[in-house]
Amino acid sequence: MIENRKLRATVTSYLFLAPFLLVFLLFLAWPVIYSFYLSLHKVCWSTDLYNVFSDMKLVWFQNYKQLFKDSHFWWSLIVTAYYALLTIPATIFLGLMLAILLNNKLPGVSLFRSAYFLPNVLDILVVGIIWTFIYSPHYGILQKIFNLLGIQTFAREGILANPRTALPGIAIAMVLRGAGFGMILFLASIQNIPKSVYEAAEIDGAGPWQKLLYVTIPLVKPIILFLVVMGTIASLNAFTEIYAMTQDGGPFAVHFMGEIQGATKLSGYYLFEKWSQMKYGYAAAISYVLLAITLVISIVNARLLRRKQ
Amino acid sequence: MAEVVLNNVSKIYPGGVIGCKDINLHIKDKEFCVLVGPSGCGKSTTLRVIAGLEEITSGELKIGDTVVNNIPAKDRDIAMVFQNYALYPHMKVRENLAFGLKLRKYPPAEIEKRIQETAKILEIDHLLDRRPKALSGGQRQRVALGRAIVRKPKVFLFDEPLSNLDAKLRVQMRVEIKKLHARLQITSIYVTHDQVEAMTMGDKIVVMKDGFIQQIDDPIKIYEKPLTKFVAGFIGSPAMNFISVKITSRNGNFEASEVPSGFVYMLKSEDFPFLRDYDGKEVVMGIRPEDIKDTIFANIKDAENTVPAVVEAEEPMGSENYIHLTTQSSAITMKTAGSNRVKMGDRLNLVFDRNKLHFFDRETDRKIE
Amino acid sequence: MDVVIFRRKLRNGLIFFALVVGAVFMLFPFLWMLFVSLKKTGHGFLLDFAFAKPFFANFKAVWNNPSFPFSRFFLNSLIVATSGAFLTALFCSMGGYVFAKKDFYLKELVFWMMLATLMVPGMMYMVPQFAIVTKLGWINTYKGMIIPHVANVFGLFLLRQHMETIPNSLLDSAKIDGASEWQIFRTIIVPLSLPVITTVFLLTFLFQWTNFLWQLVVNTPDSAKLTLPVGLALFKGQYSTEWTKLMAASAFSIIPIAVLFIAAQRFFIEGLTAGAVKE
Repeated sequence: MIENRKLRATVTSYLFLAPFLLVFLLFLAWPVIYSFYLSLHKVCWSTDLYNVFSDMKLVWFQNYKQLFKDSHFWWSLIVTAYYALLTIPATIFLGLMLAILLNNKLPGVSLFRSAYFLPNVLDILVVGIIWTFIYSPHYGILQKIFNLLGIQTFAREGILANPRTALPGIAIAMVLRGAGFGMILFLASIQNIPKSVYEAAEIDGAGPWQKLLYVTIPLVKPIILFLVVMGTIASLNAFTEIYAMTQDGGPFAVHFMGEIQGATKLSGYYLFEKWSQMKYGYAAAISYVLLAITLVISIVNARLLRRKQ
Repeated sequence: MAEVVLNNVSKIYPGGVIGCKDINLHIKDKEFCVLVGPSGCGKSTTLRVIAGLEEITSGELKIGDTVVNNIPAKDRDIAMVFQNYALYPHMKVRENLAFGLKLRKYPPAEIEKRIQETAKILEIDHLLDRRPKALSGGQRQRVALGRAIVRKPKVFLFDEPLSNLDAKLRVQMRVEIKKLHARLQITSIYVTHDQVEAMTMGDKIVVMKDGFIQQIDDPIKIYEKPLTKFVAGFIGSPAMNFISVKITSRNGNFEASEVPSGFVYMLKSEDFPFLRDYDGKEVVMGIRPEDIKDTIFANIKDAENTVPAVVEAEEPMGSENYIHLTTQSSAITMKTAGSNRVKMGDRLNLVFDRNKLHFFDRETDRKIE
Repeated sequence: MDVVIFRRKLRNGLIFFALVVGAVFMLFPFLWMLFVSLKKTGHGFLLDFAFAKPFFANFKAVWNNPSFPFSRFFLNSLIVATSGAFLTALFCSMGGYVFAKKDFYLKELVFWMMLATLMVPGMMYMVPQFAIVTKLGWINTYKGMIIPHVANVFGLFLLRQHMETIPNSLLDSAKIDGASEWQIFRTIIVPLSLPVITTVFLLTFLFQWTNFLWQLVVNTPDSAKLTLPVGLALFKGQYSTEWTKLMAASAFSIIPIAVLFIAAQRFFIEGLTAGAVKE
């Protein structure tokens, strides 16, 4: 039996939902399918530049085959993993430290809280540019400090042009920008731990370090897990900071699979590069592989969370 | 002029859950009708159906002379007071009262006039510029009533409006709502789970259970002549005592013997002719606590027809005393004057008021008569 | 007794010191940016106080630069961020309302679809969205910059979650009072959800203001619709050593957001951390 009321509610609901749903379907749902379609195609060389997407050639899985033989792609995944390794533990550690420090009754605590969180809302591109300036070998404040200390290792090319230090340099900038986010989450969850738990630990003879190790950290584990997942996805999406701080995927680093590879060419940047070379089909194939990786991470994460409960 | 008539109204939710079923109810103009029953009995569903907040599955609903099955809530000319008051928290009291009138495009002068009238009736003039958050429970209740009154609707609907108030305020608001009804003379339908509210407020009481109507009557009839065991047990406090007995005819009269074992009580056949059909069967005998006397306190000598019982506990209320007793197989509560005190373990011989005995069929729970 | 107090004071003093050092480290880049943007040259050291003359000369030069008109970039950013945030807050509120309070056909399916797209990494949308925008002819337009991002699933979920807590009896009451669906939304739902709507508005504003990749992709370098970050990136490509001007240009992008954050940080923090709280 069809209920009149539900029918009427359905009409109203879709009227309310229409603006959102139209944009959602066109720009979020459809692209997931469309992207796969594009990944099976190739831009023709003779194409009409104003009509590129209607004029692509079907090549089936050729893009994917090529992708799996593409040393630059594999390298980009390695660098992405390296970047994740550089940023995630440091961000979590710094965030937790700040939260523990802030969890004291001190004057100006809320001011510090805001100060630490502030960089999070600022433009990544701008943050990147400021750090490029700080790192600059000729004008940068960092090198001036190094000069005072007699460190000349980076005087010639600077931190960002040195293949060994380029990615860690970017990572430092992003860790200092992002640590405040973890701090807020940690702080909220530490303040949710009942005082009596700490008092019980104290009675059991735990000192400050033991309390941290045996009470605080186990109780903020879900937050750590959350930050790991967020950090992994952020690494897979990393682009703006790379674009802002190094040219064309960074200084050449190593030979890998017989080719010279850029030290900061993360997969997000590589995808952008293929897009800017108008290799749309190839770029779409990269997107799809990145999507698959993200899904695997999400599923593993969901498993871990479920095991907790 | 607005009666409310429900003909075979049913509300079945998707999945077959019964909201209310086969409701036949005729509420006369200006009548104060109370729907009462335990939670989940369908009283609120029935009210929401009348309000137009739930769709009728089958049957016919009339307000005044119009069938309103397919008329939306806003066009039914009804007003409703909700359990949690449902005051708009972001509006001042004045705006809360004006909201319905504004939406109906009344001229501002008329709106203001009605707000003033209503505020005066409910004595909330001084609260008009406050927000609901700044009001006490009783004041919120008044504003909720005001929001209903200000519209001058054909029918008032009340959905457990007093259950969020403390006991003292509840008694006070009960009287106020009754006065208000006497003054405004608007047909009212009132839902409550509290049988005291039902008894004290209703011109007509509808007792419901599991989606069905059990009995419709005025309060005294409901109390004195309950049609089912459920109604008998639900209305009245402390509740009616139920004792399972087996009926056997002896020497032209009946014996009611406690099941499985215990006292034997004599019943004259001219008082209970209808028990003839139950010879040799078990029935439920019901008696209200105030219809039980004791030989000590009442000075009654009816030695061969008493029920022996042992005192388990007493609840002295001051003006009266509830005594909880057990016979061999049943628990019995009696209500007696406050000065009649007993001790635990005392043995009493109870005398039942024969004219106030009720008998119910064990299978159907219906009254035997 | 005194020793205990002394030790506590010492401990608190050390913690305070650590907090100050942390704050200096994290905020140094921005303070440095402001400092250098006011200076004569970018070559100087920490204690070099040779400021530009007039004081705001670098800002002025950047603001009125003929080939990189930052005044125009600023205006574009403002238009894109404000209209994007407004549309997002509106659409998400309307959608959140029906998901919180209505029962309609295919609700589960639509909900599930939305949930699924939350898992898709943002980078993946670049190519197909670019293709769609190209086909629609929206390259170098505000439409193309704004619309693809106004269906914010996270914002809708945030609003739905809040709207579910609004008691149904309020809506019933409004219905009986004679309100139409739109009036219920306008006069009950929106005012009661205003804090969360504000959060969604501010977060979208922030997102659109700082969104670099999409604005880079959807505009050609000669577009008149360039936003601050894109303009800044192009500017940096040409004047990579004019640090004082670069920092002044950066300040145009950073200062409005910093001010907005300080004024409304509760909303930012609540909104940005809402995803974690659910878990």
